[in-house]
Amino acid sequence: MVIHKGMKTNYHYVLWFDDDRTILVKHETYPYGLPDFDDPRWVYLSSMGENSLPFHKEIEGYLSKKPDVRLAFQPGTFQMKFGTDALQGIYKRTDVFFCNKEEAQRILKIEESDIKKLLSSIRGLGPKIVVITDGPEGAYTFDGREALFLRAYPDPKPPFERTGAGDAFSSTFTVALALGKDVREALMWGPINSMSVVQQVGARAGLLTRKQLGAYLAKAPEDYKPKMF
Amino acid sequence: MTKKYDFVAIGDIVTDAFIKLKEASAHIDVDKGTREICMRFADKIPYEEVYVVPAVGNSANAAVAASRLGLSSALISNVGGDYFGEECISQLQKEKVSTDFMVIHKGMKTNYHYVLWFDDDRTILVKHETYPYGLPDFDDPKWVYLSSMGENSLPFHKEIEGYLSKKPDVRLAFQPGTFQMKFGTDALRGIYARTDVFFCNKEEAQRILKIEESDIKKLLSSIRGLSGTAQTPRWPRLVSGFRAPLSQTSAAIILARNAFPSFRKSAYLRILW
Repeated sequence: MVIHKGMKTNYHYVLWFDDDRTILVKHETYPYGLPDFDDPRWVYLSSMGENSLPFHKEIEGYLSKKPDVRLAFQPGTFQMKFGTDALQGIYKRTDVFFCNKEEAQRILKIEESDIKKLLSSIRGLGPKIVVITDGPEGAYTFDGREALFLRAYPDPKPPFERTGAGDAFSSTFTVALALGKDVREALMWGPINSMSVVQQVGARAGLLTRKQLGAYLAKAPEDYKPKMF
Repeated sequence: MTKKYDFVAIGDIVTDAFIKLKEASAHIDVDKGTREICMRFADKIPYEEVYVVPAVGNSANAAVAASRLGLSSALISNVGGDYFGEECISQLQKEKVSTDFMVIHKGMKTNYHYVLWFDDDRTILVKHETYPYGLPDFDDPKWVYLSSMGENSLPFHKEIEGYLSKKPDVRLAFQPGTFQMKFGTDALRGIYARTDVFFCNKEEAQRILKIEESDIKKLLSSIRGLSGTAQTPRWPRLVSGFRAPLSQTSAAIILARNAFPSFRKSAYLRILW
């Protein structure tokens, strides 16, 4: 963590109305730079400010020298705005990619609503595994072999505040892969943390331990199984 | 240990976050007769800048104005046991406003208002925490400045009235906030009767008196009439027509004059008007 004296910390204001929210956002223009951080098994790359394009080149350079480090990429607002050309190297190097359906259309600059086409178009940009979420409708994956769909995990009670549902899904899916699970099992892990996070305020409070997640997995309904589509 | 203060302000302290919205990200809708601020729902809206201002609110501002103008000043108010409360207290200390009578409520939050600033106007998201209000032992200042408090503060106003009735030498400045106006002039009769100097703006005067009158002379004398006849007239009662932010400063000017009697009366009256 780098502390920039004289600069402000990013602060977002979430106007929470009903069970949805409008977020007033501002990313401070920090001078981004990679520290010496050794070689983790996984790097998880997501939302950054609009001045971070050169930093993405630096990350790309690092990853090109470290073929054993695996990359999960869940683009934020500005990473989508940079475009797939500017971030070509990142897309090519990505092991697992996450976005929701509307973001997939925005990234590809197409109106297409057929999920299979969206999955394979994004996979065409480089990622080995592509995951597209569709909120309460469920989630889809494509790894070049099979296209899978899984329904959302049933809510124990109506969602309270939806911030962080997609983030929880993506990070949990990635962790399952890091723990050696296959795509089918990772797909079953993600929605459980999404379900848990929307029961509380904010993106972090509802994140589960492995034991808690396992308990939900054990009592999942019969139809909570990935299906080919 | 308490010491004799010139000026003790009583009222809520708050942190304001001024969030400056970008032109393109919001608009004002006038379709429903009122002006409403509109943004895309369930979207991310980039804002231009945020300015976080701790330790404000009518009474806190008045205490700072008095301190900067040379009076020994204190604030009777409440904060939560959180970061923002600590920040409010350290800001008052920087302004040399005594925090001896500040109460920190563990497990409660500090008042925090969000100001959505668009074009040159603002929409404020407000919340007054429901602190258990109560008067500390604060000795007898020369002046008490009473202003904005939460909606659960009516019994506290009775307590203040009781204190003041026992201390005829303590002078009272009163600049009612939203809830003090809502309590009404009947519920706060004792406070109005005891007030030496009263401040509000023109629209507030109409709201307080529940009349449409626009003749300032009539508004002034009607509000002056709220003092009742229970007490003999005290030091000249004045009613200011200034807007709120100015009136806190002008009150401090009067009080500075009181502390430094060499100010000529005509001079401060000119300042006030």
